[in-house]
Amino acid sequence: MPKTHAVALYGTTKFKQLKTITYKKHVWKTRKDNVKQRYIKKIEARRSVFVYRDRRITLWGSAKDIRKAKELIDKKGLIPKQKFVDKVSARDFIEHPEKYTKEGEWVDRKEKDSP
Amino acid sequence: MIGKRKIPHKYVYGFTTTKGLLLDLDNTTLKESSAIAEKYMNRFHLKGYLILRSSENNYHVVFNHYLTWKKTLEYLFKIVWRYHYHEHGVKPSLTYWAILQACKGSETLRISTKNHKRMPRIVRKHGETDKLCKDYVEYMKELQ
Repeated sequence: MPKTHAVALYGTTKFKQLKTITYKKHVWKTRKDNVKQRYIKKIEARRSVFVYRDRRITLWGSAKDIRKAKELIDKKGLIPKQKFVDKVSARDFIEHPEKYTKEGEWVDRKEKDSP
Repeated sequence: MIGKRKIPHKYVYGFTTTKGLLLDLDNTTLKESSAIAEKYMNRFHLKGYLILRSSENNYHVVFNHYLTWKKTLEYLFKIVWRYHYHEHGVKPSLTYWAILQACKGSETLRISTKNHKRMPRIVRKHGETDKLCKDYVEYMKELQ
């Protein structure tokens, strides 16, 4: 039986995400009959906002490799790219952390069942 | 210089495996958890176990024998079937945990601190502890 187990890191993360918002603006327009009229124009814009999401990453490999990967996550402030990032080799993660993670922040987790 | 202060991590981490049977027993006493561990160790020939206290009245059980994922699920849901309608009342927490693990495709038990809870610590050893139990302790010590 091969001796490979994993460590799952899970919790609530905080990161910036682009969000489309719509705001109203009053604009003056000259009609064909030369009458100036004010109307409301809806404008769509992209804003980056902080969002909170539950994420999980499972690192497979030896205890030593996983410890190194965990230290990397702590040092660089990395969070998983997607909701569930499973079946990640710890060795591969140490070499290419950008494949599986992005910059973000782990925040205090509320009392919740383990994912 | 004042002693080195560890910065607390804000995520939780747990030991994950597909090669053995783990149990998360909530709202139980040590006596009850020992009885359950003893009973199923003998029934499924699992040779040994570790009982860890995760918080007050919550215990984790790690069985020593290596199993395939198919066998693990078979044994886990046999226990769930009996334990859901326990003699002290319905205890669905193990059922919820087992369903989550089956969805995930692996079993996870916490080995870190979580909110106000301390990291789990071993309260009872029984039989052989040279396979999965040894791996569990190794991962726990390495990631402290």
